Amino acid sequence: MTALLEVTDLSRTYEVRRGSWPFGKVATLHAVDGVSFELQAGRTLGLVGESGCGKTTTAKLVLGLVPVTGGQVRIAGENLPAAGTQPWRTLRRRMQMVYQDPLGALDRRLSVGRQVMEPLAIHGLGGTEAERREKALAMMDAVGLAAHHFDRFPHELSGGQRQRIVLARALILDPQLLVCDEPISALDVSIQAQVVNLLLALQQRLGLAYLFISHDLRMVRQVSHEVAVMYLGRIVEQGDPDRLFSAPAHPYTQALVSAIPTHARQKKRRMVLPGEPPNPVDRPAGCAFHPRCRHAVARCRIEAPALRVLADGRRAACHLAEQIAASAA
Amino acid sequence: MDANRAADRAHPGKVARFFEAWPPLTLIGLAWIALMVIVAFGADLLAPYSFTGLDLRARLLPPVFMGGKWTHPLGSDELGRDVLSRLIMSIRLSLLIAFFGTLIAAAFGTAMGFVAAHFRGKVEALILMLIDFQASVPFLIVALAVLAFFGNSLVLFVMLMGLNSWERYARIARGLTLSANEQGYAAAVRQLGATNVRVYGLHVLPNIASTLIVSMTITFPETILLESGLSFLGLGIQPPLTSLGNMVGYGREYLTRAPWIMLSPAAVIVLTTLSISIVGDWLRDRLDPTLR
Amino acid sequence: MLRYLAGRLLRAILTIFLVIAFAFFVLHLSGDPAMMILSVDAPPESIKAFREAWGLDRPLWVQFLSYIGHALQGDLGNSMRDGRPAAQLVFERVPATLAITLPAFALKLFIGIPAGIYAALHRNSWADRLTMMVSVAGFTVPSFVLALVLVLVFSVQLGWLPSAGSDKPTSVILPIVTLGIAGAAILARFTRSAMLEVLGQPYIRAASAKGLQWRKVVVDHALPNAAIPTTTIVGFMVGTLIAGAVVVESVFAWPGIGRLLVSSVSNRDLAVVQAILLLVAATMVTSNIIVDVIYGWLDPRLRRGGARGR
Repeated sequence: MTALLEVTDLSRTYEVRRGSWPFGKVATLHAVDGVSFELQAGRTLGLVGESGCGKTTTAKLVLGLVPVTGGQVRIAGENLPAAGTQPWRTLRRRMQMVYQDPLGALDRRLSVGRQVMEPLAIHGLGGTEAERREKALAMMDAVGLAAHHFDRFPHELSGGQRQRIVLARALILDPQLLVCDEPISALDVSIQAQVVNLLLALQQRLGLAYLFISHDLRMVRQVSHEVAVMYLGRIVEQGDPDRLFSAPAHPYTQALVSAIPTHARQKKRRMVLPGEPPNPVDRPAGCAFHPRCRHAVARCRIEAPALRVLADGRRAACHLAEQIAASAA
Repeated sequence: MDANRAADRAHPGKVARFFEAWPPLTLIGLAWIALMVIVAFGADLLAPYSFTGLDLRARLLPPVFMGGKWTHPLGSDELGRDVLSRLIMSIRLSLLIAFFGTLIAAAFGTAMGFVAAHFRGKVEALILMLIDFQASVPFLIVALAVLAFFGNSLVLFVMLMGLNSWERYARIARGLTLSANEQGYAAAVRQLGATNVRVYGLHVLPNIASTLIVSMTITFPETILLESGLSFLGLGIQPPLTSLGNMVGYGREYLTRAPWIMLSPAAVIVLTTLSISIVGDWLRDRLDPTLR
Repeated sequence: MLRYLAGRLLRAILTIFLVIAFAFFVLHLSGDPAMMILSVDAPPESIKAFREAWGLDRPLWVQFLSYIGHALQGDLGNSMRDGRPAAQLVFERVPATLAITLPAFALKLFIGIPAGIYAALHRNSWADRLTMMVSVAGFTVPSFVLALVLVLVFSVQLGWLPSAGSDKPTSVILPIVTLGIAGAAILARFTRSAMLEVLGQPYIRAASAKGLQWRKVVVDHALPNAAIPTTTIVGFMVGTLIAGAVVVESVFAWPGIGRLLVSSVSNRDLAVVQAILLLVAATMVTSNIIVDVIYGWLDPRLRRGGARGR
């Protein structure tokens, strides 16, 4: 069966100038470098990594918000049309985005109900004004909001309620794919769980596929069927969440996992990475991670490891993947 | 009397709250602006005489409160023309020019700001350079140069006034649009599949409207001052048309003998710009979304 | 920091170039200077001769390039009225203008800034309200109105000061006062709001909570921070040292650059208008650069050159 979303060797580079114009040399920034994955309908792929690793850029590339400089994005077997064109706009009905900042993503001046209705108006769907209003109310109900919230304004709602409105607005067109870019990091911890549960429930009911982007590993582990870890624009490890988090095969994943706060009783030794995350413009030669890796050997400095399949079905981009996975188990 | 006082004591809050929402100074300002608008619209009906009506027997008559007669309440000028009538017509012309000038500047500037924020890259760099250029040379100088050389048609003059301060709107529009586009509601709606027309027309523009309106209350008095300055120098509105600035210009020669010719238009200029500034300040406080 | 300045310098040169180009093309496109100077019914031969003599018959872009070439050598063309070099005419008038704008500038600084600071420190006191009321007059009363009112009071009614001209030593007073009051009012208002904004910041409260004397808090913390935005306005005022007195000079018949501009514009004396525009642009641009340098020194955030961390 064709995957709903198929990303092959996706790349996005920017030309940057160091220093102010007209001085400074031009350098290339590889925001996303050769990323490939597949997402089936009704499943969730979690994308994790530090700020600046390319997760958000990947999301934008998948949605077609940013033009691709290399590789392909395919939706249900078809290439992504160019942004801004009519075919692209029609495709919006199949794929939507949920944002990190729900207050920023909503127009301050319009009532939230009207904003939930707006996608129907844009695409000329849903019948008359009254019918659209009904659909919007139904959608709001599906995300757990009461009818009286319809005429409220965004700043009159709580953070969790706003995110539900953003969800309702995204879902009213009945999309198959939802790209969630840090959908809960701006919310209170107590609300986060509620919204995540809502996302899971909706996935069950509507058969949605999620591309779930976050730096919160525990949340990602909960919701994802598959996880990909990104570092400096590349995927360094990809696979089943439980296996990935319990026995990471890549040193970077190891570090991330060890940083997850645990109960005081389970005293794990926390792995602290030396150095700073490097500037994506100055990528180290060979394996991008080697300057901070305590397992690095000579080969790592010269040869960039490919993302290869390991024995248990996972993929990892490390020359020493097997040893690392074994040591952590 | 006592009943009123008792009533006041029972509802002191209401009066106080009324004046808090509508400070007295703002009310006066609004009243003056309303008066000016009425005068501007009803100029033909209100002016007792034609503004070019010569009456050589009634030259240089002082205004009523300086010993003159009610036939010319604000006095008459060196050609016997009624100062009040000329003042009324001048108010209309100056206000019209300032109004259209401000509108043009706002429309043009906002459009440029949108274009810069939407297209980015070289287009944006070019527009930014134009903004810098406009901001770096005092507009009076630029206006002087353009005016005298292109002659002085009214339409041209209004267009020139429309170039005053456009860069202010462009900066605001660009800044607010950039932030709306980056991670904001404009990006979200565009992502939903909306066309650019819808994004800018239904979403961005209403959101930046209040900031633009506040800027207009700053540009409007500036335009009045610019026009009156140019007209005063004889390079603005030309006779037989009369504006506040050129009335002051003509009145200058009779400063010693008949100061009222110059004082009434000057007073109107000051009161009008003052009123608009006060109302503008109040509007800014009211429309500031962080206070809502 | 050096890169920052170099970038600013480039922009400055670009702006000046744009100003010259603008002036040149606008002025030439608008009408035929020969006809304006010689009058409409001059015989066609003399018009032709005039145009040839002044090079007005060459294509526009050729004229422009030759203008630039000469400008770089310091030759800005000659006045069409009396044939003298435009550059010379303009520079002759500079001292007269500076004679009123420099003292006015001092007035603005030494009255405006302290008044603004005082008003901010004693917010809502009678001094504050008075300062605010007077300063509002600064930007609502046009300079010619203020000038004429001052003349009315001090020349006509009281007879203390001359109303126009530059012959008597006391002639300077009214122009300087007119310029100074308006500017001081604007500066006072601005300084006050800059100070108020700084005083409202948490670090000021923290500083005084530390037990520092209020005076020290103001001098060491509030003033330097309020100086930053104030510098921009002051810089702008420096930039208008040459150009800011156009109207005032006209009212007082003061023989400075402003009056020269008005008369050259009326007479369509191209070379002189261009020369003045160039001078004004150069002054503004220079003062902007100076402001940028001072900014870079005042604002420590800029001193490091701004580390654009990711």
